[in-house]
Amino acid sequence: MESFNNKIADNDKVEFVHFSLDRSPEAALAWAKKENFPWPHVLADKHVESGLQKYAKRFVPYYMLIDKDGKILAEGSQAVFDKIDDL
Amino acid sequence: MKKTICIILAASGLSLIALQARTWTSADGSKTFEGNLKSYDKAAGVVKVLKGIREVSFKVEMLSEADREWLQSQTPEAKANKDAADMEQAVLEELENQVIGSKIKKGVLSVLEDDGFVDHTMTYAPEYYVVYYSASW
Repeated sequence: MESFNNKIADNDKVEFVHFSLDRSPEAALAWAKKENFPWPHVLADKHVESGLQKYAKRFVPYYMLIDKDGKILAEGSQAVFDKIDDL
Repeated sequence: MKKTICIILAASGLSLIALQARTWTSADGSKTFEGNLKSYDKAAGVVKVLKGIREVSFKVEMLSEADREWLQSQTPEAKANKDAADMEQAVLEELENQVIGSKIKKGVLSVLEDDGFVDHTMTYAPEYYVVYYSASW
């Protein structure tokens, strides 16, 4: 959350999207409410439609930085947030 | 030259909408006249129109339905709404040209609002996306 607030919240060049791997919408909602997530979510019923499922790994949590054309620029929390400084 | 014209307009108290010439029609459709809108006071229902160099003022009820609708579209609120709609459309068109944005621009994302998720439409077209894959478990 701190990295989001410092590097993305007011950055018009970057959007943060949470791809929720909770199968149950109730579980996703409960977690979002508990943590008060400010960012947009892709919920389970929109995984395929979002086009972001193909980038998913077999484990979570996982961060990925993708450009608007779908090119992967960085993977993993540290690399992603470091890369944002260079954009 | 443009700067000079703007200064003259500002000094004369005319807004840019005053430059919009229009054929006005009376409520019963029997009369028409040419004139430039100078101002429209929505609360008072009073329209001021410049006919040449002469200013005429009358109640909005004296105008045709089409004129009244057009006046409504000239109010600051209507213009602000139109600007917002135009902006949203421009963003959606920009997103449509993206591999990522075209998929998630509308109807795919949700945001937390009050006690539940609501549909989220992208309000700008970013160049980059950080995707956070995670779950509550």
